[in-house]
Amino acid sequence: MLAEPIALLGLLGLIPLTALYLLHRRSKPRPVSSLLLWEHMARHRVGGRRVDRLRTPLSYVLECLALASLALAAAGLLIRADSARPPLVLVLDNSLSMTAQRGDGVSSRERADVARPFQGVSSAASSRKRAERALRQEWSNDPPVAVVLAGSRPRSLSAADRATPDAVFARWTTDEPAADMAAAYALARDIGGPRARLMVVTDRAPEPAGTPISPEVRWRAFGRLIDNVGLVNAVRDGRSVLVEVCNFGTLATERSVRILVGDAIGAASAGDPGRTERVSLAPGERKRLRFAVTAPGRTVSVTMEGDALAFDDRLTLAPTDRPPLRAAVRMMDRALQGAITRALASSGLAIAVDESAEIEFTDGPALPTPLRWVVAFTTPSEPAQSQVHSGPFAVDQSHPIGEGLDLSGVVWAAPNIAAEFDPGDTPVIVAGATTLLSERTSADAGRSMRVVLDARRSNITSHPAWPVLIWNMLAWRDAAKPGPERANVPIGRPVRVRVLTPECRHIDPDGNATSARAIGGVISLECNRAGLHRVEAGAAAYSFAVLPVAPAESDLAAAATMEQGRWPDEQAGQPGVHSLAWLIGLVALGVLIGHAWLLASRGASA
Amino acid sequence: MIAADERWSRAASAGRRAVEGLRFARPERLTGPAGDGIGAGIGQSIEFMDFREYEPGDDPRRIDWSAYARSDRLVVRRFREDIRPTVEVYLDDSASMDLEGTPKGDAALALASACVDAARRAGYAAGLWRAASDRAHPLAAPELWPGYETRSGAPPRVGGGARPPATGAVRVLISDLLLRADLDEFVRRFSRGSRWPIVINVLAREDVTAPPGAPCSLRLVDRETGDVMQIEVDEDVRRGFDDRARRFRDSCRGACRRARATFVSVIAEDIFRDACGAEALIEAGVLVGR
Repeated sequence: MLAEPIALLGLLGLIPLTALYLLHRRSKPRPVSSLLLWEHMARHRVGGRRVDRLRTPLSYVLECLALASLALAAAGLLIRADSARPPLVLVLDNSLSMTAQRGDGVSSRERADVARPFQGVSSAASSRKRAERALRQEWSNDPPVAVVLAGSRPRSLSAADRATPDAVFARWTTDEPAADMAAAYALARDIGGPRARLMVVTDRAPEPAGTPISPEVRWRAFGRLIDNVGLVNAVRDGRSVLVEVCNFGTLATERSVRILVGDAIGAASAGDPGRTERVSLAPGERKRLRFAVTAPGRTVSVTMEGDALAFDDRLTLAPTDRPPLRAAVRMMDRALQGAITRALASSGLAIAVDESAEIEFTDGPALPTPLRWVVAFTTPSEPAQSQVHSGPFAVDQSHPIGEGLDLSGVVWAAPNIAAEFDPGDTPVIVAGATTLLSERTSADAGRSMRVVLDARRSNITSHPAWPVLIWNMLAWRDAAKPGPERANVPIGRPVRVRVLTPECRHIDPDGNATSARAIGGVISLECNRAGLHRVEAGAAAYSFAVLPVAPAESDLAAAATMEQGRWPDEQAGQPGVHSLAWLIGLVALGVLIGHAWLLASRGASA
Repeated sequence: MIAADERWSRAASAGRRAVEGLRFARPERLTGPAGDGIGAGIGQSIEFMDFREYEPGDDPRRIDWSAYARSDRLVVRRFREDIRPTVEVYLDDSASMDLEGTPKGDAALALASACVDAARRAGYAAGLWRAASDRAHPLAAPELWPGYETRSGAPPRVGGGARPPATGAVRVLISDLLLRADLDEFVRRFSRGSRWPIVINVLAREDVTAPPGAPCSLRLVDRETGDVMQIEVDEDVRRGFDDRARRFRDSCRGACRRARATFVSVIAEDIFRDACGAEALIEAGVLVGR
């Protein structure tokens, strides 16, 4: 390999040198007094050797050698140092800020595309074509190039995904809401080992307060400082949409924020002109806009004028309304039934139904199912059979039922039969050795709660803790209903969707479907595609929206174009190779010294 | 062509300056034509040599009457002959003696001039001859020589011309001896009849040293014959050539020793550095008495 092959043109100097020697050595007539003394020489030569060897002057050989050595040294002869060659680990910033564009329409991702990171690695990679060659060489070497995509969580590409440079750059999607460069750096170090050659391609300089970057890590940033205004937060409830807009630029600016109600799948409703609000923003200012929107079951889109970053100028919010919990109360104990009914009505979470209940309060026999949870009250058959507890009560505050529950001043009478505690139950409220409230999950995923209560001798039903207790039960059950935990999730956050069937299909905003398997009735998704997502579980389908709100990515104030760090073998001109220029230079020097000695000795002998 | 008068005058002057105060050595019993020198034979000089018995026909004026009175025997006195010793300097004027890019020709001229000048100072009758000249006429005064022309392809032929060499003369040959002929035979012929043969071997440095520098291909052109030889010169060839040149000079020295000739070897490039080779001539006993 040669760093500067054009320097081999210096070998053309051999032509005039040879010509000079040929001209110099051409037979010259030389008068002599007599051929008498020469004839013996000629006879000896003719008789001694039929084919005379090529008589090349040593000085000519030395001069040719010196010229060739100098040409090779100038060309930068390189040898591949395969045996000692450390692996290359490429760390690619996969965050959304890499999509920032200036007026030229070229994003940081495009500026860093393909071979640009390898340009300027050495004089040998000064041009794009040579950089591409250097890139291909890296991929043809052993060990293979490792690639780490720096996103919210760093991940290493598989061997198939990094088989070729094109395959790698095809997977460099720059759609993640953050780039944890420190974690990616650590992962790259783990993959490559201490001798690895690391190249980080991003749009920002290393953070001064962040993880110290070794000077032997090539850090190449292709970002540009561009003013940007973006949507940084959006919240929707049943009555309104709250949007936050931030100006990350250095100049005051104005933006028009438009809100548009769409249909259930995000398409704009025909004839809806939408509403637009003009907002003025000082440099660094963040403003909140509230739009009254009551459009149950329909999506809402928020848009702004486009600027440097496209991802934060538009978002779609999914509908957040969901049907109230269906609760049935089947109590023989009239006093207790009244207390439960009142608590249900005050919670706002459930409606009382007789059929298809999702939670059933009963003091009779009932078995739970995945769709119907049971709150079973155990009441005494005779009043005298109860034991009264006035505290202290041990409440498991980490349990959803015990969350925020304060039983101070409560008198809780429990029937004596409550002492028969099932070891499979999880106690939530305990008084002494008596378990007052416990829960258990049956084998078919049905959940049941057992409450041991003699309402006639207790004051719990008239205590402020009672509606709290019932609300906790309803909220727990409501949270366990199928569907996404949150209808609108900021990008990068995990999305958990409860489903009733283990096999599901996830369909992203682009229509790409992937299969997912539920574990414990829940599928967990990492969604880096902003927009409306859909999960199909059997006959049921659930939608949620991923909001492209990532303030750290929208802020381009830290973007920069820079380069730092050098690989240890970079002096050779190309990674993974060693230069022999110094050695050849020494050879040329030795040859020239020998040539000078030869000439001096000839001069002395002459 | 190196025959410019100015060039010869400059070389001759350099040769004469180099041997100022020096004279050619005079061995005993020289022979030669009648002159003011003492020869090895019996002559009419006043230099007494010995007595012998009188024989009929002897000049009665040579009878030693005092000896007859003492011994009653007729004896005659004999005297040395009067001679004029001669130095003949033969200059190899073949083309190889004027190798371009070297001072070989100038060195040969300077040596010839030096020998003639020193010989005359010593009382010799000295003359310079072109060794390869067909006409072989004497050139009495070097400074009057019309020019020194070299000819291609003609090896030195001492005595080969119209004039036979003088018997008993001191004979000096200035040549590079790069001959294809038998060197022993050549030196023997040169020395025959000479009282004191002297061979001064003048070579350019590149005649005996391979060209330095980087390995190269050479097209060698023989200065005399024009023959061409292509050769790749490297360190092996250089070593071989240097070794062969050393053996050539050794063979020249051996040929002269066997012919009882005095051998003097000089490198042209060194001639003008060490007084035109005078030191080498003194060391060989050719020049004496500074």
